[in-house]
Amino acid sequence: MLPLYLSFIDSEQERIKFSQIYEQYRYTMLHTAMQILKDHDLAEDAVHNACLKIIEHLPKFFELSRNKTKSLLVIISKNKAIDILRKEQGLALTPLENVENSLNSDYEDPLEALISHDGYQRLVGSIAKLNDIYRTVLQLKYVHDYTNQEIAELLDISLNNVNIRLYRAKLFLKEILKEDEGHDQ
Amino acid sequence: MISKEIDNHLFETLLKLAVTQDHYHELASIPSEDELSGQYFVTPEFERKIRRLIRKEKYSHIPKLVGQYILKIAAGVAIILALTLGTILTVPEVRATVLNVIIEWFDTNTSYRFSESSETTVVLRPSYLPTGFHESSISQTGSMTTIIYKDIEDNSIYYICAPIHAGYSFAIDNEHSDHSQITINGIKADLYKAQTDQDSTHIIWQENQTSLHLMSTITYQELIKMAESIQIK
Repeated sequence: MLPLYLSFIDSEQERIKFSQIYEQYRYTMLHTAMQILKDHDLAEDAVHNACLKIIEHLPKFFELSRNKTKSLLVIISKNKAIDILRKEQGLALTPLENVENSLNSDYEDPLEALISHDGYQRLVGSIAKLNDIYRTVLQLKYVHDYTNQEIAELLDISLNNVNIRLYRAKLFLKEILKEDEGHDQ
Repeated sequence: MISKEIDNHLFETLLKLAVTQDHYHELASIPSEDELSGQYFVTPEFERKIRRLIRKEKYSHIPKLVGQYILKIAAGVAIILALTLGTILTVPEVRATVLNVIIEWFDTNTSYRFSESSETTVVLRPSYLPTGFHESSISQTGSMTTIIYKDIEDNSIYYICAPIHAGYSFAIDNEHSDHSQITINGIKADLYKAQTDQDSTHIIWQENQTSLHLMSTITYQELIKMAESIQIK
């Protein structure tokens, strides 16, 4: 497995870039993983897996600002930590059929709730409450403007799963906005 | 009544803003790398795994060397240098600075770690470039700046400069080079002279609270000349 990923560092420039990223952000990545895993050894495993992912997508990092570099590293580290946590806890991914059933539910667009009554701030607060697996997909989509295919590759999930996570995240946020609107009235 | 299409577009726009705001709150809540370096550590085993990722060409040799490697790592020499720059620098604002750098010599690489911080972010450029070379690109990663110089035959010179901060570190390959100590404008520097044309020569030194690193496959004499042209005004 490892030599396969290593083949992606195919130039001196890329090696330097990866080395710089690691030296500048390794504790940030470790901290991110520790927040989820609460175990140093597992957190190092998560950072190592994150490094492999960074190498795989190294060309992206040449175009990123400092803030976006940090952002992407945090997202990738968090995702790798969640993967390890799921394995440790023996949790499977949410079965797709359950998710697909939920997609059939009809709901009203709560745009009015969003525009009125400080709805925007509620939306920001609701995003913070989202499960990280949904939050990271939203961040890659709306902060980094990645396509759903790129998100799938970064998170090692299927394109279908990205679509479902995005849909569910939006559904969840709209439900929260609708509930809040109901409480306000 | 607003059409559903416009509703969706508006929701998407507001969602993008909200996700971005939430994410930057999240990032702002993470302590700085400097602070985190005081709270966390990385194990030597982990550090070695990462070094292997960086030095891909040596990976295939690792399995048969691993036992030997661990023993040699254990015997690695850690040299702690407290360099009072006042004794080796002449520029007044630098003279007062005490810079602590820990240099660890391992079997295949030499690691530099710094335990003092600097706020300096000035990029010092060389005034001399070997014939045919020009500045090809400049990139920023964190506070570290990398400038790449290229010539018409696509030979490269890498110049990496970074303000020193506590926890800042890097490692270089010492397996395919011969180490010696030289002086660059009166400041002690490490020269790692390449053993073959395929290997890179490195010059590493610290000046004005900045870590400076030149690396290339060009001759070491040319690299030294370039290093000496990087001067504090």
